[in-house]
Amino acid sequence: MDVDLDLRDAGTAVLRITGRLTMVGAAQVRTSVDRAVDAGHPLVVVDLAGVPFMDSSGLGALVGGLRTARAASGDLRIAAPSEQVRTVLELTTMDKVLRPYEGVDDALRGA
Amino acid sequence: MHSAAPDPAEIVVTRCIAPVDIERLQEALDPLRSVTGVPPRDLILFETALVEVIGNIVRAGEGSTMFDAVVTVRLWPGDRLEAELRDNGEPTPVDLHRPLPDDMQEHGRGLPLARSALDELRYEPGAPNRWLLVRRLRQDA
Repeated sequence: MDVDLDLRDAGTAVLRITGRLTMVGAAQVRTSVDRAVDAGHPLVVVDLAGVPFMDSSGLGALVGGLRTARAASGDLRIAAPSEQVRTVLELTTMDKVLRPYEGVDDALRGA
Repeated sequence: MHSAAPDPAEIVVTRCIAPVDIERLQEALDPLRSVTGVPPRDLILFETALVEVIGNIVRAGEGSTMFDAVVTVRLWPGDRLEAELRDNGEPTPVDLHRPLPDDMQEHGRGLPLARSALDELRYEPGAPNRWLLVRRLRQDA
């Protein structure tokens, strides 16, 4: 799994994850969200287009990131989840908390 | 045994004891992705559950030197995907029916997720501990 953090203007950041998001890489995702928020970018969009598979540890990392972002008056939004990721969100009823956006731009706009 | 059912295709992954071995297990499932007669949705749900259960086993066994776990995946054509997991970790009670945690909790979703993705989830603590996961194939999927 690879993580690319892109700090953008107006307090936003895009975190692009590539590969399976499981217990192997969950901590790295948490750290990257923390870095974005610490650097003054508390609106974090996680681009999941390159993530074919996520487990509950990966989901936990996103929830942890959401808590961090909200604590800084920001938000964490997810974009472009695969069918498996959507399934995990639905089966855990977390799709109502981490509502999937079609793409990164939609997530940045919040629409 | 005499049975009309075709023999299962079997995939065995040994020494599944660390997080990186879960990646190896998922790669070992690759041949199933191109088998006709395995609806992609069933494979997604089965794999999701399998990764949760082996993740639980790996976490429980962390730090113990003689720890070992073996995963056997069987495809019963036209009927079901099944995984049998055996490990020699400490036999510990597991609540298979525990509910999902609160929304903002980071942990505790693995087993509820596995349960909802499967038709059958069984755990027998012992020597070895034994897990059985069953996902029936939906032919109309």
